[in-house]
Amino acid sequence: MNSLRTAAFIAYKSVVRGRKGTLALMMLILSLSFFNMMFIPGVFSGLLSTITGLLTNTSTSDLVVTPQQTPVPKAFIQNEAQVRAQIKTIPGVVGTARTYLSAGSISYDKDKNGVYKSVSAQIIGIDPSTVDDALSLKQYLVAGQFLSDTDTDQILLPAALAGGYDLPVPSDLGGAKVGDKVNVVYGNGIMRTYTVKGIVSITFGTALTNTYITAREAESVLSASDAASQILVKVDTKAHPLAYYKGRIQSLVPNLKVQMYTELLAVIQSVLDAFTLIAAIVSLISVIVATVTLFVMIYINAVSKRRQIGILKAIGIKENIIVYSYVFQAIFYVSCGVVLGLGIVFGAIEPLLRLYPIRLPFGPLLLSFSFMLAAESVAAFFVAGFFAGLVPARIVAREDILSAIWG
Amino acid sequence: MTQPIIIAKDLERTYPGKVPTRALRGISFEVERGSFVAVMGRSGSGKSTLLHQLSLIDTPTGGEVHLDGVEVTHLSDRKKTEFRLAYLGYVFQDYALIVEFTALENVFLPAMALGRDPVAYRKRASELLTLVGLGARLGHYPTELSGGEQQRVAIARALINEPKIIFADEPTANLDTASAVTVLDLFKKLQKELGQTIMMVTHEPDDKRYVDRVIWLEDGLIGEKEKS
Repeated sequence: MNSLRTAAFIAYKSVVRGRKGTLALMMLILSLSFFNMMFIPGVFSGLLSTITGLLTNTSTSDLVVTPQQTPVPKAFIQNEAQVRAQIKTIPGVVGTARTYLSAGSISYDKDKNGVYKSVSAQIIGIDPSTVDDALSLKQYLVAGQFLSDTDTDQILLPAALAGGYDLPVPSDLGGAKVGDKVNVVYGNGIMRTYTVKGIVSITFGTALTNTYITAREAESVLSASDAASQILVKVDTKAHPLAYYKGRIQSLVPNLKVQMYTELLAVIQSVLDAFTLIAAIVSLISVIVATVTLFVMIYINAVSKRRQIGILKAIGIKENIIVYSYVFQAIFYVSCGVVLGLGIVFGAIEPLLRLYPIRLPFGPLLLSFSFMLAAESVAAFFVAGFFAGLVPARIVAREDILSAIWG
Repeated sequence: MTQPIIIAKDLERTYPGKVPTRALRGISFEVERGSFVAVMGRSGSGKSTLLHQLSLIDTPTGGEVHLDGVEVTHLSDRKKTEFRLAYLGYVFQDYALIVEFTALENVFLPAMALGRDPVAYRKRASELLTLVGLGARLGHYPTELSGGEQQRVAIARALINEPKIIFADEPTANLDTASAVTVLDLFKKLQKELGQTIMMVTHEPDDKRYVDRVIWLEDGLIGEKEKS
């Protein structure tokens, strides 16, 4: 304890009486290293958050329950109301929604001259009043109105297929607008004509070409009742991990297939894994840069004070006190770097990006930081600082007294 | 008769190199407790080398050193450091103060390292600086003090842990005459009033009048001359 107190005193005096320019430079370098360590993973995390948010808001929610596949594949989940009621009994389940899925072809005669443009689409039957319990479709409505539960001759077109929205699809209807009539031929051969009630603009992912009708209309087309092609489940992931909910749902409905969105979006998962790896590499490089910087600066500082170290040893100050004093200095520099780095991230960059987000095809890019990321970064930085102070100080402090004093 | 406070037995120090340099060639002597001893000799005779071996700043290549009854030559580096801190004081030729510390801080640092009570060591450091005539300059940094003042701070630092022995390596070499006299008077006062054992390397013949005894070195060998 006494050694630590003496070391802290020597470190304090060294910092207070040291060169202010060197101190400022060291803090700047360390704060930027720390900023780099937080920023890149924060960008990737924000990117992933935006992408997964878009996909879970528009396609999969958190979990997807689908009909049994074995021994005999079934087209629908029967008694869907009862199944959803069961699922809702699980603590942490926020909401559920059912959908009917059907393939179809949409055609549109823009100029009313008998020349139709056709596109293929996934046509999804939804319960408009409850669909946002699991998805967030309404927020993507860019024209017209959302469907009502009783609508049977209305349709929501995706902006990508309607045309005129400059979205990346091979073909579109050439500019279908709210109020226009479109014809839909379903996979089972049934043909219906609908009025475009609204346009939803989902700009990325599997929902890019999703077209929506009401579940009531879908049941009419598919000859189904109290059924669903899939049940989407939104859960509170802060309460439990997704796998927990998957297990609980699966135990309630063992004859149905339950999947987490991460399993369904394998490509996204691989991107997520790649981003995580890149972020880890960038963080590691930042830690290495910070460590080397600190190491070099502490080493130069210690070498320039060889004589002082020799004097301290000569008057009886133990080697470990001298080493600790440099470790304390390094920890002080790291603390300042962390505080400044956190200030740059949370006081400047993060609010700036919130005010002026970078627009990406799938949404605004916001920085996303978890407490764990911040804690890990701080911990890694302090560990790096500890060794960056310890090693060079030990090298210099081990020199014999006369060599240190006289050079 | 009391046991000598310093005993050197066949002390040798050879510096390695293409041609090894034998700075001390096996010298033996004893120093009585409370005496003021000068080590003198021509340049290169081994005066500072002897002081370094006795003060545990360097390790002899042969022989033994006993300080206050403890055979210290074979102590570990850690034990030597602890011994230096608790029992020895060292005054360098060029003061060797820590430039980032005030005079007061320079003086109390060894006491702090020894784990003394903070209030007590600050008070003691202040008293010692007053004793050496620097009571009004406690908060001054070394760069704000003259050479003589810095050396007096160094002496106060050497005294803070109430050492058994003070070693001084040419403490007046960098000082003007007036400052040198002040420092030597101070050593004499410490010896007379506190019974402090002092061993000082010097090349000034006039310094002999302050000491009880002179150990004369010549080419690493001892040739003791009585105080004239």
